[in-house]
Amino acid sequence: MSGLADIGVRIVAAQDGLSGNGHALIHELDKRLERLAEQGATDAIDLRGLPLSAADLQMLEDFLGVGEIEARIDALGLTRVYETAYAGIWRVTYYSEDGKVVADVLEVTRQPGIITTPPGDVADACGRLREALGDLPPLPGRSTNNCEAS
Amino acid sequence: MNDDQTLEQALLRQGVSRRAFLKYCAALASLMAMPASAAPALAEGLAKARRPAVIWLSFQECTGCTESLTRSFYPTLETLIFNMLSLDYHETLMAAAGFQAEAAREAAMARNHGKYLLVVDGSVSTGLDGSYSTVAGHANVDTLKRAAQGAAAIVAVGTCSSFGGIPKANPNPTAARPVSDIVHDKPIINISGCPPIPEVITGVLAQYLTFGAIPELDEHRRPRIFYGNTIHDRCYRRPFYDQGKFAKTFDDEGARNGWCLYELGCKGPTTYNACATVKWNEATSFPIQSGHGCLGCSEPDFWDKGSFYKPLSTPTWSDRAPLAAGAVGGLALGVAAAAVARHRQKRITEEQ
Repeated sequence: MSGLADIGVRIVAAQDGLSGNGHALIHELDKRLERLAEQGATDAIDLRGLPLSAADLQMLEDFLGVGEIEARIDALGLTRVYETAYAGIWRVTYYSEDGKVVADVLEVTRQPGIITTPPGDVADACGRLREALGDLPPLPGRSTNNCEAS
Repeated sequence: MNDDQTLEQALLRQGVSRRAFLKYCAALASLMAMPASAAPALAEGLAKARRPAVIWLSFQECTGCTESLTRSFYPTLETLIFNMLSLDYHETLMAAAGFQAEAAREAAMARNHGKYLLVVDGSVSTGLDGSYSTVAGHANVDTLKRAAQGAAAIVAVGTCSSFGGIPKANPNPTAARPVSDIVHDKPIINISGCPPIPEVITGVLAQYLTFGAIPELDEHRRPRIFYGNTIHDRCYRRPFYDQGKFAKTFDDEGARNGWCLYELGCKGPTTYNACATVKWNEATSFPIQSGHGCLGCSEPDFWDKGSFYKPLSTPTWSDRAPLAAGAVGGLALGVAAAAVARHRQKRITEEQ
């Protein structure tokens, strides 16, 4: 076998790789941010659903920059959330348990839903907290740690 | 999970948090090409869903569709069958066999009458009263008719059950038919492809589960979210077509430069599927990216449409969407190039 090296393959790269779609997306974000500021309307853009080249994505990242908050959520794999330099525009990237990107979204909102505590979790936590509290010795002067009984 | 629990209750019991569930829905929305803002509504719908019973019947097929399904990356098959569906009968995946398996199917059909989802892969033989293909002594055609009676909807997975596929190819010795030729009184969703993209199979099932309704279908009963565009429309080599840059053989300069494969018989312009966007093997690649033209496997009678390596002989007008002026320019170049290529191929054949 002569080997794969004998097969001449030449990759022809585009000049700068920019399709113009990244630029157009920033205009879209401008309009949506205006709606958030004036009407409180939230929105989200799925970056994987758009024809963006690697260069487009890089341009978008560089343009939007990084703001004050970054969070990492560990639930069924990692989720990385950060606010861009433009307050109200968040980048939310969801990874699978083996580290592959499964969704990549720009959210125009004051707080991405994935960070907010789900109401059901609050109710569950309340029950668990009381249960755990029951295992501690009672405070001086109280006969029980049970919230409901007090 | 028992069938009365909602999906949210079941997942919480398994230690899957509500946040993880919301994340799962965001990924699902992205896969299903829904607006990203729809993820919370999807999560709400899915949380309340009760998993439907699924009965999967395999007829004249090669098991490629099931092979494909087991490679679904997101949602994985495990997520689907352990959390979202109750897969009550699948000859390849279930442990039971023989009388025990048949009894399980009958029991599941009776218990969920009118509510179960019937999934079919493989074409249905109708020749010699269906005796070309039988399971447990019953002709496939009879099994299908009986199982269809109690089904809420039927999902035909693969080109064989959707359109007849390879068993129906000329001269069709077993008189193979698609499911839609046999069953006329139930909603049918066709997920064509030979095989279909794994994420498309799981995505359609997840979507049905979420909304409890049939998605919007095209004229071949395929869900528009996955089959709404041609491979050509979404192909990363499309700009070369528009510029009239074509590979003429599989080893020429054009092929090395990654130019359009239209002249080498690519059926991308007439094939509706999601290969160019969802891709295969965890979105690694798809045939055109690997340097081979599309075979058109998700279209009816793809096997009988002439050589895979002859350029399309008809203009690639889409009868559903007007083409942009730029694309029409490219189209003219493409049609002319195809005529020249056919002539050259004929000459090569004659010389041999």
